[in-house]
Amino acid sequence: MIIKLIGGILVVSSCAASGCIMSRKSRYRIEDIEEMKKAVSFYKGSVCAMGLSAGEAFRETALRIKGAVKSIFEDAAEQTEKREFSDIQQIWKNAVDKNVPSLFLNSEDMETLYSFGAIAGFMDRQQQRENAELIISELERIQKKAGEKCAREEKLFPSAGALCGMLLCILLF
Amino acid sequence: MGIKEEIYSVSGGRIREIFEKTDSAFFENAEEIRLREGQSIKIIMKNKAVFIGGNGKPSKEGSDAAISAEDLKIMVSFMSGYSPYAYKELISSGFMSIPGGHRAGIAGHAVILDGKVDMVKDISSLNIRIAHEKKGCAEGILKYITGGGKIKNTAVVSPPGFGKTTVLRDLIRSISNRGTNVSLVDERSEIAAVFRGKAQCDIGKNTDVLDGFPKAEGMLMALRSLSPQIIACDEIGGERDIEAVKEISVCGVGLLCTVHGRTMAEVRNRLNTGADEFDIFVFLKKNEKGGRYACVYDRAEKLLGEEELNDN
Repeated sequence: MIIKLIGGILVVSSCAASGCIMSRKSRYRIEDIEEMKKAVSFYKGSVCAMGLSAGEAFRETALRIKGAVKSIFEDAAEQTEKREFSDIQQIWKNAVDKNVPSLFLNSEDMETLYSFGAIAGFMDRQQQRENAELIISELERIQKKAGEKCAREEKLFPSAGALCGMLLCILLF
Repeated sequence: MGIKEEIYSVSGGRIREIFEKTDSAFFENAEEIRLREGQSIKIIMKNKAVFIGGNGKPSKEGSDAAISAEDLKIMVSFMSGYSPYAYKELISSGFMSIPGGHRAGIAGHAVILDGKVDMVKDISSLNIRIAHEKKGCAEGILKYITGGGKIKNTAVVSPPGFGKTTVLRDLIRSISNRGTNVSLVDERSEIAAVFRGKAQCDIGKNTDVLDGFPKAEGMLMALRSLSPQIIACDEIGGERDIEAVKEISVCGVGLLCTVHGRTMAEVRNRLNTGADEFDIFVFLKKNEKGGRYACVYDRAEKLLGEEELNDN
């Protein structure tokens, strides 16, 4: 009986933990979006205020952010120096694709992330500023939506996990 | 890094592929590399010019290796690190600096904004002028401009293409390495050839570079903030330059400048009363064999001596 009780507690707590982990994914997604927002803002400053080239701006931005987004900017800076691609949009896509496994973003977020590559490089500073602001506002919109979803999931997933665990216990014992 | 690697590092598209196969000796001996839409790459050396084919070897003009507008566009994008916007001011002046101190002249269609060239679009040709630093070429001139622990105000004079900038750069390097603080105002990034914040040419240990500054503003800013013993500047001539030269001279700071011209009359015509601020005038000339030499005059137009320039 004691063994069954211990087993039951273990099943319920591990299911609840799984629910917590699932809900954390939404939190990580928000953190990635936040980092990306910061990065676009730094990039905008580097290009518009400091007059840096795209590669220099990628490098400068990478110094100020963290996580997978930092790696994207580092890779983009490196590839810009190597000049292996004919345009910066390809460089950006390549850098993003390389770091996809470390990101918690969904397809909508990824689309916004890819669109950043289109604003870097060719256009003049003013247009880059406007486009960067557009991307930041889009990221803010996504982040707000993700925040609401995250709040719901943080409540729902752990309790749903615990309930699943209880159901399992009933079925097993 | 050799000249080939320096040029290759900023080349794109088909041009990059051709340069990869081209013998580095062509680059080492090149004075100019001309890239024109619809034509083969042309490398101009001291005594000859060759067209480069698709296999990177010399070929006939109009061979299989004609450059397209797209190749030139990619080349400009690569030269600017995919960021033409960051070099807009230079591009609208018709040139860009590239690694190694080389300069790419740009021809295309001007986009005019408020009566000024805002950008160059539809780029149809690039002329890469290869920088060959000639260290020690002005060694013979130094004795005329130094003396009594002071550097005399000196103007290096010649028409374009006689090596004024090369001589000025060598004088700056020599004087700077002797412990004199030099402020170099390099409006067109020609002397120090600054590329992404780093001087590509040796301009001495005690030289501060004001890169991209308009000459007059740069000279006065250097005077106020950098405590220079010498202010160096290329191609002075405008009214504001002359005013700046006079102010610097009054403050007891030495001047090292270049001026376009062939004769003292032309210099006086260009500098007006500003010419009185200079103690030494170095006129660069070419002999029949194309070798360069300098005729050094004092303010009273008395010939102090003639010196061959060491071009090797």
